[in-house]
Amino acid sequence: MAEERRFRSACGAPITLRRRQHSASCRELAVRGPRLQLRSLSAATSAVWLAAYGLFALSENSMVLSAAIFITLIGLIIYLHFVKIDQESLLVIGSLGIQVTSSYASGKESTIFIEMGQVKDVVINEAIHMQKVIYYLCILLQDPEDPQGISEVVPLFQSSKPRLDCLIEVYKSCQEILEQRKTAPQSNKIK
Amino acid sequence: MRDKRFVMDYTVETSQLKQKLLKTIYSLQLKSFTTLQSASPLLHSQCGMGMVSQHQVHQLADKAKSLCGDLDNIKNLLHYCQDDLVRQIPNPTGSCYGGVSGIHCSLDGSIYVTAESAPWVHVLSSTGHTLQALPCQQMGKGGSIFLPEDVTVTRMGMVAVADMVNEAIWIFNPHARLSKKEWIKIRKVGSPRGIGVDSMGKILVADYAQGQVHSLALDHACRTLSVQSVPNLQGPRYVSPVPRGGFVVSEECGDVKVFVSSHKLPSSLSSKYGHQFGNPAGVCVDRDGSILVADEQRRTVHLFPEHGAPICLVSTGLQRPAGMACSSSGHLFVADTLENCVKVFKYCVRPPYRPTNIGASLGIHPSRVTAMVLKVFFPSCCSSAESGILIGRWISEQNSAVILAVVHFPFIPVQVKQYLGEVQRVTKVNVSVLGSWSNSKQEKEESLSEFLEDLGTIFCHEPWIQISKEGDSKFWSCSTLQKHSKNPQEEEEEIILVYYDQRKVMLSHLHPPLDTSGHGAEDSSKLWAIFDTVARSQVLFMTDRYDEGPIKLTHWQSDGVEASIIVELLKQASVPACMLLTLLLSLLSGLCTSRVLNFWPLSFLWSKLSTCEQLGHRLQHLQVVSSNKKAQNQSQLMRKANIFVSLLIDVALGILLMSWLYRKNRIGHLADTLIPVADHVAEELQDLLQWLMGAPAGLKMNRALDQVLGRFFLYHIHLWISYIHLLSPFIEMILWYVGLSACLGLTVALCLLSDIIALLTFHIYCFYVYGARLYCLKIYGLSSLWRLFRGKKWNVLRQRVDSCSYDLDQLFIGTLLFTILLFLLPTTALYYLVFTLLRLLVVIVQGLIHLLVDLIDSLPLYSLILRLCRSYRLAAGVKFRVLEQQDGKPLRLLMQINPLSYAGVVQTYRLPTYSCYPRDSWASLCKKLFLGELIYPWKHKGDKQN
Repeated sequence: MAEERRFRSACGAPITLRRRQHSASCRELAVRGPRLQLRSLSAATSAVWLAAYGLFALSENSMVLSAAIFITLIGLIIYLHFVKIDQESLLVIGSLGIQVTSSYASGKESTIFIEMGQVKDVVINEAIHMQKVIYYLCILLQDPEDPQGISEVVPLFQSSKPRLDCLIEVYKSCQEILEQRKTAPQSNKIK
Repeated sequence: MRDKRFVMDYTVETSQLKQKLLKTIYSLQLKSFTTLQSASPLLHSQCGMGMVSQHQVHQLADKAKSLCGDLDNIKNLLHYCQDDLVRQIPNPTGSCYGGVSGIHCSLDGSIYVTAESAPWVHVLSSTGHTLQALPCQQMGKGGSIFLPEDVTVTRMGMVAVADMVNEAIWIFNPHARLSKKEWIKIRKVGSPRGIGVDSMGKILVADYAQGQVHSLALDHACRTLSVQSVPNLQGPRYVSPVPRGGFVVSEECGDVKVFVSSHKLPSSLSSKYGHQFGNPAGVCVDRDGSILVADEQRRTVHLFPEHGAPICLVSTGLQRPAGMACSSSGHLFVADTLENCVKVFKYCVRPPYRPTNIGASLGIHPSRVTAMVLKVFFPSCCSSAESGILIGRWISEQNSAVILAVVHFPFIPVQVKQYLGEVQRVTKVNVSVLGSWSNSKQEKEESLSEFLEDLGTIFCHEPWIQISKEGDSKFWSCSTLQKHSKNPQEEEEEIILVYYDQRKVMLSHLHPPLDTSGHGAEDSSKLWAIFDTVARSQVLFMTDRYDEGPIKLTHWQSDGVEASIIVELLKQASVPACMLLTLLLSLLSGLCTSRVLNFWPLSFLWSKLSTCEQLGHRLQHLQVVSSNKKAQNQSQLMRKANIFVSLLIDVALGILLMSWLYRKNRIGHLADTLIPVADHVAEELQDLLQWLMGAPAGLKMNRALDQVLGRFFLYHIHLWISYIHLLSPFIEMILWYVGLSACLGLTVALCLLSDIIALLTFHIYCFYVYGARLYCLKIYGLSSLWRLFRGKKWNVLRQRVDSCSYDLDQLFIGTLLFTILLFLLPTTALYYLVFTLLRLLVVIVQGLIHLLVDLIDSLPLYSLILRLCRSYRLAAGVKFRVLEQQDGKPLRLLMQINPLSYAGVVQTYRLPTYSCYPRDSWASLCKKLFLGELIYPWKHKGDKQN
């Protein structure tokens, strides 16, 4: 049961939101950002190489050219492996917790799993980013000492920055599952 | 009727009968128990079958089969009751239309009723009050009426009806907003008669004319996704889903057919149970899987249990039964067309203990989605284990079961209990039998599943978990059994199967490490409890593979201890070695702290030499490693290991350095080059001073002061050169002995190098101190004279600037001095600047060396290697992967260990170091440089107090 919808990110790039319902209390929401554009890649590469040729013409040292090749290669590897995030997904499992995964363009995945006991709520917040106000989704973590307090805020979808309409969609899906969690302790007390 | 039986129960005859039945069952149980106890070990040890013949075994099996059938019958007869009419609910549409025909009982207990040729669906409470009446009329301009034949409720809580006149299926969403409340026609079907919703949420429609049953899958917007049809039926009328997948359909004047989930293999009830139907009408399946069939011709209702003979539930009191439904509370609703009412019968003496099936729990209302989710943590190594029982720990507060191992058949229950008791005593984990595991290679064996269910009565556990795997299917079915359910309506449970790698979970340590003493640790992390359970039950896994115990277990098997003889020898050897080392170290440290070495000049010298600091540091490390105290927890153990590896690497590098130094007389070369280098440096300095004494960079200096300072420094350099030349014959020998210290470790050698640099650049240090002092004096003089200039002075007592009236003489002298100082300042400032830069250069070189030493000292190498090679050992948490899944089967997750990042490893396990340098901020450093205060290369006593 997967459905895909198209949205736009805060800076206008097209993103897709993919919703998969694994079971009644397990749902996966994935935001896929725009793919790496060949145009920007070739522009960056040619800029570096042109600069290298300029230097080569001045200094007449062929080391400059090989250094340029190395710089582009290493730069590309670093960009794909550490910077470019392809997809950010949120796996909400009703009774276990919330898992936030961001997969990089190279295939590397970094995962954080937050247990349901620590999650206080999932909310939409607003923040000033550069010159505009953007909305973002975040998980509020419970302070173990103070039941009312919040110990930490974990922002979600940091690289793709979806707009509010997409965030509301994700928010509703999360809340549906979090609601079940809230009814659980009550029904236990009745028993 | 009920009263009569109540009285009968207390007659003498009945009580005797009861006793006899109980006694029979008990003796059967006892006999089979004792036989199993003696037979099981014998069958294990002997290779043949003894004196038992083939015929005897077959005979016994046959007899047991018939005995089991008899027991089933007795159980069923005790369980169900006949003709127990609770109430009659009159037709809510009244008598102006035809009699009631279709009926459906939803999971929350409300009843949906339709009548013949009446355009209504009524929703009644279980006591018969009308809750809601849904008119069957299309909204909008047409507003045409249709007549529902049968009714059902979908997974989403929507009402679906079969309309024979318009030949269509209609659906209505009672939860939608008012404006959207309308009937939607979802599909045209030939002549729909009965309707139902199966365990996967598909709508089942019995097509009377075409003799088919269609199953329609719908999406959220009620669009048809797919249609599956089962053909070749003779006038199908009523259809009802089976909770475990599949459906039952009744044929007019024919048979009742049961289809399993694949929709392929029909089995007829009449042939399976040997029962003759008149005209089967309404069918329904209760939650135990028993099929109930109403017979229109014979005016009866029969129950067909999964095991045992059919039972007649209603024999009298029905005129013409049509639709039928049963509730989870053990009530039967029969629509009587002729009498135009719904008759409610009680057919279970007590609501049965219910195997909660996932298929059923998924089919419930969205508003009633239960929150209690049962989590089963299953070791992935046990997935190919043979059938048996599951043992593990039940964590009730999290509603999760951590399965540790599977005990195979055959076993003796008493021995299993003893074994578990032993395990509990050793591991202090509350290990118990949690449920049963069946792994049938071929088709599901009926007798085995029955037996597994019965095991639940021997090992009491609440809830009793049943996991079964069929063939090589990846999708297991999983169900729970609640014996003492208090609230039958609330007991729907969703099950999540979480696979985990037992070995990795056992060996890994969650970070940040929790202190086990704190009581808060238990509730702070649920995962922690799971990790702790698996780690503590290590004893369970360490049993020898070839150990033929009374109980056969499947779990992660350690490779045993055979391969580690060397490790054992090393362990044995390490104890005396450690003791010897401790003794030596205590002697050494005693020597170090003795008073002879600690009187004033020496102690001052020790504290200034970084080599001594480093040696002391390493001494402490050695003491930690060699101490025979057992590490109390994981972090201490890791600390010890890290120190040990760090020491080893350090010494190894040191010896490498030494072997490089002492080969090919490199020390001699070094000593030969050292003196010229020192000479060269001195010459360069002399040139620099000469340059400063002229007009450096075109600056016009005070010539007299410049000359004085220059000569002073030149003399110093001269002294220094003569000192070096005096030393030159011995320098090779000194270097040779100093080089030996590299065997104590690279860090010691590096510290020595740093000390040697400090000694060799002593003249630069001296210049710096002179320059700084001079500069400092001038700055102070200037600032105080500046105050005098403005008619102010520094009040020492109050620590502030006060105004003060000066005499004319004082002002005159002050101005004179101020002018002189001001004009002399550039010269001193220049000298100060040059020597400070030189000094900073030396400090930076020393700082780099110390950084390297700190790096070797503090880098947790063991943890890093562990992270690289066995990344699961250091866990930052877990991550879950959703595995491929199938409708009606539990959600399957794979729990993987999320390793700690390298930065996290370094941060957690960094070894503390002594720092040689005062950690000045850049701002304070600049201020000090500007004011001409001394920057010390070593720990400054005054800083500590601050």
